[in-house]
Amino acid sequence: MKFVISREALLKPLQLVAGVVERRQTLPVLSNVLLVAEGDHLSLTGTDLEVELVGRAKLEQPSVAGSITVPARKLMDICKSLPDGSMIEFDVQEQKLVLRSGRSRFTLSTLPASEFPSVEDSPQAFELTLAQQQLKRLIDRTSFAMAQQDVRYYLNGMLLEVVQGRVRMVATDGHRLATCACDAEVNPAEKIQVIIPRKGVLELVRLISDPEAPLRMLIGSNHIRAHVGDFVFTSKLVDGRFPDYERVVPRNGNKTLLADRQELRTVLQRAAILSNEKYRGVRLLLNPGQLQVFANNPEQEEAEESLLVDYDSENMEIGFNVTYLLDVLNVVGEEQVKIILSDPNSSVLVQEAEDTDSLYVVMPMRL
Amino acid sequence: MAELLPWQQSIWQQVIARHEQGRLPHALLLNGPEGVGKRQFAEYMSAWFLCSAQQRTPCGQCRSCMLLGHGSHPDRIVIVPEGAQGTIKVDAIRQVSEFSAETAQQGNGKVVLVQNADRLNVQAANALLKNLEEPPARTLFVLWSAHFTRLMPTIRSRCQQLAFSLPATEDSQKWLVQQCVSADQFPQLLNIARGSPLKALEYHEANLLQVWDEWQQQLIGLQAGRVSVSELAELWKNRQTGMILSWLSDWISEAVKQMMGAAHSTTGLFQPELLSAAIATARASEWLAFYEKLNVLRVQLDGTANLNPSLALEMILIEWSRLMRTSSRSRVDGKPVRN
Repeated sequence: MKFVISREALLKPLQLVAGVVERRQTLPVLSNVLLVAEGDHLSLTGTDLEVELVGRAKLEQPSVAGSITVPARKLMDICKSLPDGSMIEFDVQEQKLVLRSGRSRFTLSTLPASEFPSVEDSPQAFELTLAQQQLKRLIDRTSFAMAQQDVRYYLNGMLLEVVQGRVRMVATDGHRLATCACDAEVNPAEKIQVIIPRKGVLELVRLISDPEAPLRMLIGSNHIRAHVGDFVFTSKLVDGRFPDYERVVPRNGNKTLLADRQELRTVLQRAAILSNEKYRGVRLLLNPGQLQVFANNPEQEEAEESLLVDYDSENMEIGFNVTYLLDVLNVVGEEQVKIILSDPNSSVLVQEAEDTDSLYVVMPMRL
Repeated sequence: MAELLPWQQSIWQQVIARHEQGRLPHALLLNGPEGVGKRQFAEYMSAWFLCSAQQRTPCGQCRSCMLLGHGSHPDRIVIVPEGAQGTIKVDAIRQVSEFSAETAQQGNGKVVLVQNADRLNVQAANALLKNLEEPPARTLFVLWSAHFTRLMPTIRSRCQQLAFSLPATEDSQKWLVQQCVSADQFPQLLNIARGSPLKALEYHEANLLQVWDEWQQQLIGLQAGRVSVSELAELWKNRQTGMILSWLSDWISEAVKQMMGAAHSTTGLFQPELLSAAIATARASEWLAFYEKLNVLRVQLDGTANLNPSLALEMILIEWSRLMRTSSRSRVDGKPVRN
């Protein structure tokens, strides 16, 4: 294998791909990046077995084709430290990779490409195309509700659901649930549901750079693969059944509260300061036209806030973990937020006043 | 490339037959004495399970087989005992839970191998039980252990057991010859290894025949007063204590057998002078009590009990000397015991 590439063309994909490679690896080959030269293209692959990222770079001149793996971090450090605009020549000689650039020469150890566990295309994958911003919106609006290291492993990820004409994402940690949907030109034979692991979701959204550009996704039985610009991102799936989110969304709410999102958010943020640091409980007192928020902590410190809202049902007192409410208020976009309640022991529905694409369910807290 | 040992063919055929009838369970427990190739069998089975060719044997050509050959297959996890105590801790099993929660990376299912499953500590065993009870799809668990009765009964009951026994002597000898063990050595090696061919090979490679001669010479030295109990305990401590103690236990059982009038089953293995000195006491009951004590101690040394090996060895050696002395005192025919 032999090729020449400019430092700039290599560095961007290399940095992203090396970002996937974990420092602490049990298998030596996983700390390496796979380089495949073919024609005038170079592809770089990094994996931590959970997610895989393939980047592509253009070569100045046709290469001598071949594939090899080299230590990712060292290769990146070398490329970063070379001067701007330098050309780097890669040459594999007797199981070593020789890098030449100007008057520098480096020899890196290698492992054969056949040792590298890259993911091959799965044959019966379902394909769908979204605008990058659509996917970003779906993820941004829901990812905060994913569980972290829960024993219910299927909650440590996000449900991606594809039905006729619609793509939906759902995340829940058992205390709150977030879901967001968008229209898409899809036509699956039957409903598709897969769970993308937490890490896969967070890495995928990092790749989105051009909101208008399309993003092609392939959903297989073991993997989800996304073609984003020059990158191909692959994540394993969580092998489990996601809870039926439709049963969690409360339908029996009879009291509606409309409030200004920013105002409510700042009120809650201030009250949160004096809430119990562990349980983060706040008490909401709903009166016609007015919402009062109370918080206190074990040190007997108290916060009291009130806010004018649009509410005309009977008085009600309900407790919440304030973080759950704030998380929702941080991601929704509109001016007005609508909260639908039924009684102090039932979960509430939070959504934007106009837009019903996103739904948030928050469990109350007994105070 | 994982290979079956020649004496495992029939058991492999059983596994394949079960698979073809759709009766292969999600979890197998391989039990049998040390050194009969349980690990090799488990490795072979995982290669077969992960192989893309889906034949009766792993093909050795496909990508899965290649990755396994390089030891970088992402869909196989091997849990081995760790640390000074040699136990499997719960952190290792948590890895298994994470591993089994996600889909296979290469798409041919996943394999979890647990070596020396009897070394699971309580928390780890309970954590593993969770995985065994609700196994994810297309995931094969293979546990193996030489002391499977020490495993939690709940784990045992969730695995189908495959029993491995010692191969016939001819099979072992054929195999040992293939492994380049010279023909005049293997009968003795096999005897020392209690019929286990893999152990015999290991002993051969570690040149243990010499150690075998030494330890009996050392005992003779102890009896003659040339070496003290504490010196000998110190010497043995640096060797594999467990191995020497198991030899000693074999030695006692041989002595008791001969006292009871059994034929010389393992002629040439033990120093006759030392054996006859022990036999001369004709106190089988005392030797048997000692044998019991020794075996209890071996289990303790092997387990997680925090025993001081030097003290344990000293205790055994003092007891041994006492028994041997009784023998010389109680002799009636007046023949000298020591040469």
